[in-house]
Amino acid sequence: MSTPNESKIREIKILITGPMGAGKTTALAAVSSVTPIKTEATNSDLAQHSKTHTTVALDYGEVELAGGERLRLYGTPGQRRFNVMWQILAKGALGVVILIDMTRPDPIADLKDYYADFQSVIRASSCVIGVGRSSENSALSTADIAAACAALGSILPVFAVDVRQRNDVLLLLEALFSQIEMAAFE
Amino acid sequence: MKRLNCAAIGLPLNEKLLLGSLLELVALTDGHVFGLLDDEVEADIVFLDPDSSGGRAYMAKPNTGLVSQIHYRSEDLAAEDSVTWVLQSPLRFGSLRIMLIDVVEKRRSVMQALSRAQADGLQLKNSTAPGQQNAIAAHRKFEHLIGMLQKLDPTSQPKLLHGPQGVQIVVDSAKLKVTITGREAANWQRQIKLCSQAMSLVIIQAPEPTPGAIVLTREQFYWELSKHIGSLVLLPGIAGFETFCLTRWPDLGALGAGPFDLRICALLSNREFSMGNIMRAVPIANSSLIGFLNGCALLGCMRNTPADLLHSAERPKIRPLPLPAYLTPAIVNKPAVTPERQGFFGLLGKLRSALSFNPKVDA
Repeated sequence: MSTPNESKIREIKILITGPMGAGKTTALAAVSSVTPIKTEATNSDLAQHSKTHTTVALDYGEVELAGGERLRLYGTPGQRRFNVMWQILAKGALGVVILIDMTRPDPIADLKDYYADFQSVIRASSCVIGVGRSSENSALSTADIAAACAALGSILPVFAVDVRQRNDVLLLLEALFSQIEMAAFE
Repeated sequence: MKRLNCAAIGLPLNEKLLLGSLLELVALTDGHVFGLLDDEVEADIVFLDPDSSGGRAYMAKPNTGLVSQIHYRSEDLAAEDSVTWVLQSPLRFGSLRIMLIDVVEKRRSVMQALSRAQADGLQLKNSTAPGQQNAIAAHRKFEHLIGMLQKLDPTSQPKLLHGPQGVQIVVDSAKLKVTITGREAANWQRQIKLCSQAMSLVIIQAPEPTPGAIVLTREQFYWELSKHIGSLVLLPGIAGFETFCLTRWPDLGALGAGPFDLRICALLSNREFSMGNIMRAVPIANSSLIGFLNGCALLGCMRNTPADLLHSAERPKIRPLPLPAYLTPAIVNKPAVTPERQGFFGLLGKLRSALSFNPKVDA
């Protein structure tokens, strides 16, 4: 039997962010139980990434439970010029997934940028770092990314993942869920 | 007996553990041994990581700093027989570790030769007896210190682990035997010995690795070893801990997450809990928790906890979760914490079922 408060917690909002081409839209689509809503436009910033289309406002997906409860997933646009959307989307988020692409020129700088922009959510709730294409960068490891997080003042889970694999995305979500749960203990 | 006291500053726990175990074994000369202290004040030799905060702080202290010469005079020697060692260049920990292992192996060879000689009824010179006794004592200490696999589950099935460079390792707990095959098997001998001294070691230099074998990285290998066969005894370096705390999460994306690994990591991130309190928060079996903690220690994710900062053996307390803004203000302002937590737990539990996350389950 549920308590009065229990019945009011009916949804959780999770944010997926990271640089362009890191796999945010792919990750969201891997777990969403509905067809994701995408706001894609032709990529005019080919210097950053060669893909033809990119998210310009948000991606949205969800997992709906039988009782109407929901996990809402929001993907941010990767380009900094759309960062006006970032703080709008971050409002009320209970967790942030930061995807890092190890083939980009400076993955640690990317981490620092996104950590700074979503710092309020990270410090107030939970965060996990998904590291993509880790095998293609021999100079940097997930341990280096974890060390960079520690230097920023946070001990965060840093996992090598392939966001095309549903179970890898679920691992990231489970890490967030675990942090939310375990934050209750002191 | 002269003992050279050493201390380690800024080294990760797994390296400190390894260093301490090796130093216990290495006899400098007959009757002169290294030992690793917790406190650098009384140390004759300090090993430090110059990039760590502790290492920098130590070097900044007055009257300390790096020296390249060590003058050593044994109490048993005349002044003219004193020894001066010169360090030509800074020594990397990896190189030091290999040197120490080499010394240990040489000492063990000598000890075995002496034992055989005794068994054959040969008379040994009196002067060798103390050295032999020390070697035997060191060997026994080694067996004890590194023996994370001393107590093995006799009912478990042999485990096949695949290491880098095509190395395959079959661990048969019931027969106390580790078999390594592959062209690089000999290079792995030292690593395996460090992890499984209680087991006999069989090296087979196979010409080619088995086609299609899954290759593990060194981290994956340590993790698997801890999970499968190191789950009944805490590693010597953490056996004395009353609480546990992680300095970083192991990369469970690469290592594979067990059913409760993520929750334990979340619990121990920068916070300290005893084993009892971990098991109260997460419904994990004692052996699985020991395997997890050993794995974290081997990967260098564990932080030592000073005894005077320990928690009491109380049950974990519950504090309110940071609630998001979109929840109703009545919930946010309400101080009663348990129902809110249960509310999240309930929803997260349902989501887990709906998403069908399948963490790796140990065989």
